[in-house]
Amino acid sequence: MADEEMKEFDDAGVTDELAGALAIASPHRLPSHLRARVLRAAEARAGRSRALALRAAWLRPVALAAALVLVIGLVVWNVQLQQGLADERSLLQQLRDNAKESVIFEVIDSPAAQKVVLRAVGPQRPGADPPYGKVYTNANQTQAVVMGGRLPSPDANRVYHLYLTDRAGATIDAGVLAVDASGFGYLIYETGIRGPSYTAARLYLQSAGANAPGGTLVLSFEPR
Amino acid sequence: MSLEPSDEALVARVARKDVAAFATLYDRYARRVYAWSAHTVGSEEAEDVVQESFLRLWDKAGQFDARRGRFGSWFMAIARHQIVRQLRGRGRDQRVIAADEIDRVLADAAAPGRDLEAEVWTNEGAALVLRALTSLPTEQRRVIVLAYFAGFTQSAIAKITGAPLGTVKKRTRLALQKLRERLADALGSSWTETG
Repeated sequence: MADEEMKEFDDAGVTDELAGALAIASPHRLPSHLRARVLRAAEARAGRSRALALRAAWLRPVALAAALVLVIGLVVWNVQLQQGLADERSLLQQLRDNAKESVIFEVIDSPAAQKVVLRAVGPQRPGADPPYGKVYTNANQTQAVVMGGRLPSPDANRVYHLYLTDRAGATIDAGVLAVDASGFGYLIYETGIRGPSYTAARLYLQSAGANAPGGTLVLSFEPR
Repeated sequence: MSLEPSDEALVARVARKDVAAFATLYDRYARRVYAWSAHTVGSEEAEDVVQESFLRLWDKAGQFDARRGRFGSWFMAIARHQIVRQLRGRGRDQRVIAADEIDRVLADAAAPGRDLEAEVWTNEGAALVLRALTSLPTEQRRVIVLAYFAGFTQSAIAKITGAPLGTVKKRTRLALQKLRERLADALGSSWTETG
């Protein structure tokens, strides 16, 4: 029966009474066992609902705690991310301010650029942000560009010296990283190879004139 | 004044998962659902239809809105949906046979020896409708049975009975009008105002 046809029956106010009329006239008798079966089924549903409600009540504080931990984690992660972005902007800005060679931008400002982060090694000065650095290479260029920031001014006769490790495991002297009064410095290392690749990079504070790793390891990128 | 809680009060308690209220509504309506189902889908499946209809009531009691109509109409629409769903898998002929059987049962209710007066005390509305059905012309009662109990559309009923669609519509309208008037006469004018 279509909905509008059913509405005629509803409007007549007889829909439930028609079924009642048939129940009176019918020889079919409602089985007595059916009542208990239906009530048991309803009670079983009520039990499941109560169990779900109990589970929900137990889960609610756990979910709240998990959400709180997640929010705190997101805030911490965001702070770290903002710090990282600020570091990145600071380094690039200082590089732009200082760099004269256009080759720097040919290496770092390209989709073919690859970057690793140099992280501080050893004990840090209390209350001071740790030094950091980056090494850029480019699949289309032969130079490696290295930048460092927040590096303490070295003592007299000591310099920051960068060493790279190539894929064969050989250590390469990439040169001295000179820093300004703000602790920023960069160097351009001509590798002689298009698209150079390295497995490790270490920045040592060591005596001027040294040509092998030694002294104090300040920054490092190590393969994991 | 009746001390029995109304259907509407009971369904509100069922919405709060009151099993006792649910049991009372079962006692009031299960017989109707079972008889209808037993005639249309057979007595074994009728038990499943009754259970499924009442479990729907258990789940959906909170959706009942007394401002939109009586509980009986709302619940029997749920039951009707369950029955028609079972009927869909059956052929037209089987549904017509079931409807004709219902028609015969309703007609026989007017036979001598049937005491409908006793039912009026316990099931007033249904007993009055049954009495009105038995007094309807055969062709009017048949369209009501085919439409309501077997779920046929008026177009389908026209094909089954061989009557023009306009005639089927007229028979339906006249039959419902008589049922409504009979109930109104017996139960008071407020009944017609609910329609």
